[in-house]
Amino acid sequence: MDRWYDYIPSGYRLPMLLVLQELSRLRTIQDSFILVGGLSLLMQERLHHQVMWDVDLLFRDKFSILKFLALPKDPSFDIVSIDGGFADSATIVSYHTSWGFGARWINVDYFTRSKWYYFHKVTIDKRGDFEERIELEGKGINIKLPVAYPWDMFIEKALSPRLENDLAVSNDLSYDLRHVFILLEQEKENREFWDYVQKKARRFGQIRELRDRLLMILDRRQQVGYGHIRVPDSLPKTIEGWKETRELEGEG
Amino acid sequence: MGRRYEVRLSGEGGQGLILGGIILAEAAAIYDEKNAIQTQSYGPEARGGACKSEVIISEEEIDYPKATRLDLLLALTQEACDKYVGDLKEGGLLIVDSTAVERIPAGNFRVFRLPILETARERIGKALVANIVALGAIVGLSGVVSRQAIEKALLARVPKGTEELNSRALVAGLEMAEAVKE
Repeated sequence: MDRWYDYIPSGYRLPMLLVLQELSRLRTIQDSFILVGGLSLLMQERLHHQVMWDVDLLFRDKFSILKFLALPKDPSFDIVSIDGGFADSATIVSYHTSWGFGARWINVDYFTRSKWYYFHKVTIDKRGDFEERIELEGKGINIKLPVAYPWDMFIEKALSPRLENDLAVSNDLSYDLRHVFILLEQEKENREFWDYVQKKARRFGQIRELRDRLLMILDRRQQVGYGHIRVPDSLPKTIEGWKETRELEGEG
Repeated sequence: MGRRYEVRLSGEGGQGLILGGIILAEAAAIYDEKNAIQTQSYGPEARGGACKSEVIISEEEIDYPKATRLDLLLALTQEACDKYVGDLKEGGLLIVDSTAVERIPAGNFRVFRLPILETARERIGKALVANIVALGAIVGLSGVVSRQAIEKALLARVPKGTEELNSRALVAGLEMAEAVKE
């Protein structure tokens, strides 16, 4: 397997790519969402395992979701709402759908979390969209989508309340922990990566939270099944030394 | 199994039921090469303590992704049992945790009371693997996916070093099913 979409189960590969193509078209009409989650990491060749992938779309706000729901979609998809309505909590608003293409269904989840849309958007505005033309089963599929940058996904996943809970109960089946440890393994010795996450978290006002969470992740890696991941001995000390203000680091 | 088979895993938040549903769907779709869809609902209907995850498996086309008449209901709490048992079809399978569910509503379905939560906690030593014990019981009683498929789907999800504990949980569920099967 050497192409990212080879890790989508074979029967679901074409439907998934067609969903991504349709989202690319819809995005030209309404540009208020970003593709995040595990699929974003797969598309950027950070993950190399096969699971049933969902499409997670992070919207700017609840109004954008409502507007998107009302957009006419390609009639070759059957789109079914899974929820009876919006699930609203203090930190997240979500709405789940399944898009059917032939016998196969792909879950497409819409959600919004305050602040996080702009957290990702600022990087995508600088780096550009994910863009690829794929030939599969006699079809030419064009994808052009705003896809979350893997280093930003690392920060978002590390800080998520779900991951905090997974750590607390030593959930070795947690996919958030799996993604964080895969990225950690890939980037552990990359100084540019650590500079980036530190600066980004500081700008986002989350440096203390990220520092504490990363130290906890490193400390508990044995209990959650990732004790085999070796990190430089100096890494915890370096993270401990992250300061909370720009001035202290001479950035101001 | 050519026809549509509908499974609902229900209980409360924190019991790993959504992940349990995902693993069951992956066993069917990736390793048994069937059609499968897993969904979970967080909308207004899911409010309160109840949590549910649904899996639909078929060798034929799945024309609708939500469960309509359940072939199998797993209930790990009394609340979930009371709330969802009405969706179980005639002759369907109701699997309940024997300590958490005391009252079985009347109906024309087969009931299996199994010590799922206790087995996870006492025999395996980790309450969190109740979802995996339950998966073993579901597969053992329904045969909706093959044993090899569920083992592969589970092992594909666990990090190195924790395979043994999760495998033991799955086997405990399969053995539990074997013991109560007619």
